Amino acid sequence: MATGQADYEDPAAFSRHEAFDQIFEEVHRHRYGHIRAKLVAQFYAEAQGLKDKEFPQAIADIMRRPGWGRQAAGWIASVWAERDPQAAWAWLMRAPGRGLNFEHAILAPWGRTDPAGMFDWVEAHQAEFPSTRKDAICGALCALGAELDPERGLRLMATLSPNRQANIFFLWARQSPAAAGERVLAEPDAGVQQTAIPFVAFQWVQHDHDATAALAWAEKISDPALNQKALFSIGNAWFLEHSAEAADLLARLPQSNEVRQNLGMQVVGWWKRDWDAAARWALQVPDEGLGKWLLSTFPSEDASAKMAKLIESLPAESREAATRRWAGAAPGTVNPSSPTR
Amino acid sequence: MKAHALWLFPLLAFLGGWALHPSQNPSAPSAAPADPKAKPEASTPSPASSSSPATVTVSEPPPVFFPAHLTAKEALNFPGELHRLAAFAEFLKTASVGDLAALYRDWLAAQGNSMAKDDYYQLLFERWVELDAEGAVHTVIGLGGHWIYSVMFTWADRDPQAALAWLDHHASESAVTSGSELREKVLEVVRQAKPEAVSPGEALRRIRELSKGDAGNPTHITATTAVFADWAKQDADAAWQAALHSADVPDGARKYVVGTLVRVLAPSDPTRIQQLIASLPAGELRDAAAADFTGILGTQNFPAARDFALSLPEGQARIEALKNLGRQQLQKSSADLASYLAALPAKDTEDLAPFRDTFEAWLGTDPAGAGAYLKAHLPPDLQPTAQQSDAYYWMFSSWSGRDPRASADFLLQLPPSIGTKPLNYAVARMARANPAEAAQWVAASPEGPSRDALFGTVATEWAQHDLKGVTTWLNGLPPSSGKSAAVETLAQQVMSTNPDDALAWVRTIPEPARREQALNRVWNAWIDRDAASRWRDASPNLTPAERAALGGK
Repeated sequence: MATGQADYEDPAAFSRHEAFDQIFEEVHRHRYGHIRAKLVAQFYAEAQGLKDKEFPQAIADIMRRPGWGRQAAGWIASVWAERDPQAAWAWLMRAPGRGLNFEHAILAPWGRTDPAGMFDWVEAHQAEFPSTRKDAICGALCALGAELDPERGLRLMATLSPNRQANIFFLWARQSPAAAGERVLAEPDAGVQQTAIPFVAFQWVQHDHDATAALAWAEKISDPALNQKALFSIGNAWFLEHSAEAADLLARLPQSNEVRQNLGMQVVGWWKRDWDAAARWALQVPDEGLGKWLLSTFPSEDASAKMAKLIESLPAESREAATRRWAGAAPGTVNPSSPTR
Repeated sequence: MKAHALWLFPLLAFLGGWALHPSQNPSAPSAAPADPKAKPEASTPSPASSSSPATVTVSEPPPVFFPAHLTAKEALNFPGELHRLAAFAEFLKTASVGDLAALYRDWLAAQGNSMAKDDYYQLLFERWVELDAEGAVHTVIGLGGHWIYSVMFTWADRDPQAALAWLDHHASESAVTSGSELREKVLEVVRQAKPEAVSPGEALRRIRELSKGDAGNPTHITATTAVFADWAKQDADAAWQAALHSADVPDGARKYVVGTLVRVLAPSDPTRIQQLIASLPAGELRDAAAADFTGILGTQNFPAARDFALSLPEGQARIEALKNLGRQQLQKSSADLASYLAALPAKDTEDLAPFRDTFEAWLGTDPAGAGAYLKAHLPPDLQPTAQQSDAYYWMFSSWSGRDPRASADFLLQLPPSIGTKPLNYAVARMARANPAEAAQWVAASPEGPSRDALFGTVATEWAQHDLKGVTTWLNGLPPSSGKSAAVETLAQQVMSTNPDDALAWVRTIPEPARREQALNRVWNAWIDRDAASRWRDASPNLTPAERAALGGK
């Protein structure tokens, strides 16, 4: 790391380097967390003072600092991008090394200020992107496409990296599941639609916590296979917060290997969290074979006594069937992560 | 596109003493300069540009003006990340406790949709704890406790005694934290506590009391080592003695504690640390300390570190020490690493599996160089142990993820005992991105059992996303053992949803014995056994012989 004044032609640049040093020292005095309001303000003020030509050196200096360095270097890049995004971008495209992952830091301020301009520019210059940076560029553009203009992002990815179009839906659904859900149903590319529908379904429940709306949306999917994929994703996303309802949903789906194996893994997680509720559900799920198989995922230790007590607590009319089902299960013999009979 | 005028805000404000009005939306500035080169850079208001290097200070940063009465929403609308953070910090200066609680509620309600990431929560809690720490903790717990760790850590950083006292008195009343979770929080608070507020002895005592019967828990080890890291800076000798002898250090944690002390103390006094390590009794503790020490010494005096590593007896410590130095050489350049490895005694590079992560990193920056080295040095007749096999698998995994085709091309040249498993992964990654390309690649690879397995891998990946594509591919393939393997894999994928289709596929396997075995395997992999039995017993498509082969009547 350049630390001597001799490394800097401009005394002001050296003094800023020293100022950054002092900020970092202050950062490292904190035992927890590195973000402090005063330090952020100081850092921003110093970054504002950088001349255009000083940004590459400042980024390189800051990158080398332990801990906070990489994130802070991205911040400097974001300040540069606010001032002159094309210059920042041109520098990044020429910069060697895998560590400089500032594609998002530079494209985000640009896109948030002038989305159409940023997308136009990227579209016009995509052939010039170094192959080593294409992955990171596509990742940043997917995020910004979802945030700023999903249609534009989808068009761009169709030429830049077709496999990533579904990622836009994934990120978009996190912010606006209903809009992403409507759009994916109209997606003309069957391959993209097939991959994206489960993404949208999952995100809808995971982030919007509205399984009812997601289920209503899934009903509009006319292709039975795609409909099942959507329901499968909804069930999985729903499981942690509403295990019984989600388990009912997954149990009603055609029991393909994928569905069965996944339901098994979810139920294992469920009995680890709430043994009674999971066991009660598995004892009473209408599909006898499914119930036995799931009960076989329960641990064998102490299971019989606990299960007998639980069966006793069931309504009288259910006890006999539950007892039979438990007797037919072989606890501890099924690991849904690597299913065996 | 024109550079916009965000840079103008501080400048204009500084020159004219303006406070920009909130209506001036920073994301759509109205006074953008036509020519970005017109920026008066020399007059950018930074004390750094006008003060001498000797007198620079960060205690009074150059003024950065934001709109007066900035709201959180406005702050989070600034385009650049640092600009947003600085604006949010500005908002916090005038925010009330009520504002902060309301903002926290909003963010929780918005979940992942909020623009607020961890850094913003950190800033929020910093201000909230400053204004009303106990209220912040109670509010966070009352709203589900999602950020309880962060708010407690922030409090502990600001006022460890108060935070500890609160935890001591509220350990049992929190509705959102179980006893063990809260215990871990206490440990974290102790770990974060400022040494002047909680003595090392008290911190270790608390940790020991809380760790009863669970001394190997990683959280407790982390807490213990953190206390020693602080202690070493105040009183190195006392910390070293306590590390070796204190009853408050669980035996399982002792090597980590000693390693921490080595890392903290070696940079300033390597000779002393070398002596201390030499004074340790032979065994795991000394080995671990020696390996840690080599890494530290290597950053200061590489030849001395290498000599030290080579002076260690054969064993794990020597391997770890040499690995540490290898990683350091790679950080300089791949040529430095190659020279370093070439200069090591042959016995130290006979087995490259221990250097797994070094080669993984080398393959990431210079696959040609790393590949050439591996090809030249991997023994062609190596029969790897399970551990070595895993190491080679992981060695190539990152490269295969990034550039599966190049990785696959290379792995094909390695002895099958090493290359087969990582090659399978590389082909899977290739097929995930472009199954047709992967199919072509596999078809062009040398025939044999390994290739058959790769056909199956392509079919598996392809079938996940494009059943039509994979069936078209298989229909176009001439009969071969590779095709049979792919067919069986596909049949297994579809058996539980379309068993008759799976059967039709299995029947395309030309060899009768292999066909029967494949049908058996495919049917047995159907998890829903009731459905499998029903199909076996009732499907009109099965011949009697096939039904019998599956155990039916």
